[in-house]
Amino acid sequence: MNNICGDELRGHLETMVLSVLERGEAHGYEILQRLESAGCGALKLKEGTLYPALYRLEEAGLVKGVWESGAESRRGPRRRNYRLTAAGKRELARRRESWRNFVAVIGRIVEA
Amino acid sequence: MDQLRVHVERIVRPIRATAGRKNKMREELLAHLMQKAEALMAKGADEATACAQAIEQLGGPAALRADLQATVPALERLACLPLPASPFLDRYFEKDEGETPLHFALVRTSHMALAIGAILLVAATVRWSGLFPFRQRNANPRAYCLIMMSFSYLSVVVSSFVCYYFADVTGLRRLMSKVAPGPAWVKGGALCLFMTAEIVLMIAPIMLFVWIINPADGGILVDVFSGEFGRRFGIGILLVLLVASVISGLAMKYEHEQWRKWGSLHVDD
Repeated sequence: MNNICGDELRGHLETMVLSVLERGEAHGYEILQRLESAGCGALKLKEGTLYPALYRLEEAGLVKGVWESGAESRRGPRRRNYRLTAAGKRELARRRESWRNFVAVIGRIVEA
Repeated sequence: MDQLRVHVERIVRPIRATAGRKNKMREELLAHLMQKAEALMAKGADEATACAQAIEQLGGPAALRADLQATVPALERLACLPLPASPFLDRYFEKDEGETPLHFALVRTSHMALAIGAILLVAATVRWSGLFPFRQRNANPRAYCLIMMSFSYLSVVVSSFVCYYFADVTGLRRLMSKVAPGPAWVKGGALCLFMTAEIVLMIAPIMLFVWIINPADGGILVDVFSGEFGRRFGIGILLVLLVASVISGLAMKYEHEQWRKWGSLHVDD
């Protein structure tokens, strides 16, 4: 499978993050691992780009970030766990629908 | 793992955002890099290689910084423009090698004298240009106001000098220094003590002076307190000053914690 990287991912990252958070809350590093395993190693993402995307989603009220409490945190800096909000779930459903439509229309043209 | 911390600071330090937002970015990025490096070490990489790879995979600092900056609301960005005086304020309670307490106190007092002088100038302009919004009962003659203003200024300058001098001699200065080692709560407490002492030393001679030269007039600082404004807000202003000293102490405690964690890192970019 060819690698998908940089500009090809831009614009889809936020939807992919919402999608992997549907499986349950996760901190940044875990979100990346989920993305990598879902992408079967073909996603080549500059890891830092995840955090601006998370902050944008949080600002828009689509995800909610909560610092790990001391008990569950391991040694070192605290991690921030993100989970989908109700608005995030609605937005994910809307983006999925939009994506299916996009693939159906563009796919027909490209595959023709 | 220090290089991870330095890399995070290289990305986040120049971002124009509140300290709270920047600390959130710092903690998250550092947690990410550390987890990544630990994962690479578990696969057999040595620490230096693991850290270098973790940094490389995070992406270039300039691009990431720009992306993070773009997530900060415009108003916050504007409010967090870097102050040219920031490096100076960071080291406000630091002394040069071999500097005497007298020199330290004189230099800091001259800064204070300039700042208070500017404030008094603005206050006098407002007072005598008719912009002062409160009616002054038994408004004092201008000569009396000028004497009061001069004495108040002198009192502020002398009290500042005394406070700075004794702060240095007694070791309070070092306790207040943001960059010197020491527990953060001690630094906050020391600054609170210093500011309270300065406020008391500033106000007490002025009140005494007013009482001596004009016992019938309870005015302080250019008859402001003897008018309607003073009756309404005089005690409130004093309380605000004291509360401000406590808040400054708490802010210093927080600032020192941040300095110890991040500000003391040497970042060359």
